[in-house]
Amino acid sequence: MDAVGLLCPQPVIRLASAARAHPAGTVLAVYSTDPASGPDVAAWCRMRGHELLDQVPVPSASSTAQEQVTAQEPATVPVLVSRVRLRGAPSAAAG
Amino acid sequence: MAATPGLPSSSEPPVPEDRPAPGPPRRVFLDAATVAPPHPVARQVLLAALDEGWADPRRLHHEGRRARQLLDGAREAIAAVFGARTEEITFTASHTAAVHAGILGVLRARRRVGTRVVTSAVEHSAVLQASSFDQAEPVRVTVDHDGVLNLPAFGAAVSAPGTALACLQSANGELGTLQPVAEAAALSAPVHVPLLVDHATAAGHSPTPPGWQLLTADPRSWGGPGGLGVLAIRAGTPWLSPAPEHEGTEQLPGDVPVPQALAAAACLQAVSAEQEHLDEVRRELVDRIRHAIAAIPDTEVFGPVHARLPHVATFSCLYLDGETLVRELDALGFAVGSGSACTTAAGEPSHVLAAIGALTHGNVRIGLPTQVDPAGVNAFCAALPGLVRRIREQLGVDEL
Repeated sequence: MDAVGLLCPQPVIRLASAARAHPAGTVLAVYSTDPASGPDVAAWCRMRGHELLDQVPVPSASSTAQEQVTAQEPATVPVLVSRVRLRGAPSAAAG
Repeated sequence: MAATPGLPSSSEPPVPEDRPAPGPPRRVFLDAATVAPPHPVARQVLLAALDEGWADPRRLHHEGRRARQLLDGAREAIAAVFGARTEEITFTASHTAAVHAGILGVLRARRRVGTRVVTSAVEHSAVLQASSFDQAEPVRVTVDHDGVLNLPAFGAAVSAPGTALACLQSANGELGTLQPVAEAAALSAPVHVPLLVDHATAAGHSPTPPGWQLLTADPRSWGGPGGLGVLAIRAGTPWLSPAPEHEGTEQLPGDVPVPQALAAAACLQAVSAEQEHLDEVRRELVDRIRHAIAAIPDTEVFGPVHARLPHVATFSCLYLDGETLVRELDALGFAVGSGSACTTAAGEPSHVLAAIGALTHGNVRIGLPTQVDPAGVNAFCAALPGLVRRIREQLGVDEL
C-alpha cells in the first residue's frame, strides 16, 4: 500500500480504508515517507486491534513503491515499510 | 505575599492591577505550559524595576549599586524557592542556554571520566541536543506508556563506566508526568554521576524535587518575562564554564537584565505561594478536559491520571491532522499547542509522544495558565466533540 509522499494523517487514513476492503488475516504493507508513520501506524494497530508485524526502513532504491513516486519526491527520503496483519471481528476465524 | 525584595515597600503587598487578559476578552489561552501569559505580579514588578534597576550592577555609583542590590535580591528569592544557596544561582539568556551550559560544563569538567550522558527518552529537546553535541555520547533510557522513567535501566546506565552526567526532568511538559527524581538521584549519587534536573515546565507549579546537582528553569513557564533562563549549580559539582573568560556577575558570560530578573523572582514567589490552591483549581479543570476527550470516539488522552503536573494535558484524535485542529480551535477563540508533525518546522512528530507509543497525528497540547478562567475551559470542553466530528465528516473519515 503506497503512501509514499503523503503526510500525516493520510498514510493512516489510507491504511484504514484499505483495511476495510480486506478480510481478516490479510497482511498489508504500508510504504511511507512520513516521519510520523512509524508511531502512528503502530498506534492505529493498537487502537483497532490489528497486529503490527514489523516496521523496517528500506533503502529508497530497493522499494518497489519508489517506482511510482512522482518526480518531485527526492530519492533520498527514507521509506518505512510497516506490515500489518488484519484481525477480524471476534466471531471471525483466527487469521 | 512577601514584599518584593529590594523594591521600596508599600504598606500592603502589590495588588494586581485590574487589567483585561492579553488579547480580546473572548480568547481562551490554553497553551501556557512553555510560555505563559504575563502574570500580574511580573508585569507590575517589571515596570517598577525598570526605573530602579536599569543600571550596570558592576558599577560603583549609586545607580549601579542599586541595580546590584535588586539582582542579588532576585537571586536570593529564586534560590529559596529551588532549595539552593544564593550563590548557586546563575542567570542565563534563556532556558536553552542554561541547559546547554549545564550539560557542556559538566562534560568539560569530567572529560577524563568519559563522555556518556544518560538521559530519559522524553527530555526537553535542548537536553537531547546538548547531550549529543560534539564528543558527547547520548544514552537514552526508555519510559513506560505514561512517560515514567525506567529506573532499573537508568541505574544500569549511570553505573556503566565513562558516564559523565545524567539528566532527568522533574516532570514532562507535554504529558505532565512527574519523574522519580529522588529515586534516580539515589542511583546516580553512589556512582558519583552528577544529576541535572530540568525543571522547566514544573517550576512554580510543583515542588522542587531533592537530589539535583544542577537545575535548569524557564521564567516564562511561571508567567515571568522572556529573555532569561536560570541555571543552579550545587557547590562542589564538577563544572567548568564551557564559555571563554568574562567579567560579569554570573558564572557564564552575558549581562543580566536586572528588571526582568526581579520580575521573574517576584513572580516565582507569588506563584509558589499559591501553589496548593492553583494545583487544586487547575487539576480539577484538567480532569474535566480529560473526561470530555474520553467521551469523543477514537481519541486518546496521555499521561498518568494522578502523578502529574496540575496544569498540562495532551490528547490525540485519530484521522485528524494537528494543524487543522489547532487552526479550527484558534478560529473558535481557543489557543492550544500540538505535538503533531505537521505543526512543527522540522516536520517531525513530538519525540515524547513517539517514545510512549502514542498516536502523534491530531494531537492537542493543553497548558492552563495560573489565571485560567473555568468558564473558558467549560466552553472548550463543550466545543471539542462537535468540532472533531465536523472535521472528520469533512475529511470523509467518519466511517473508518
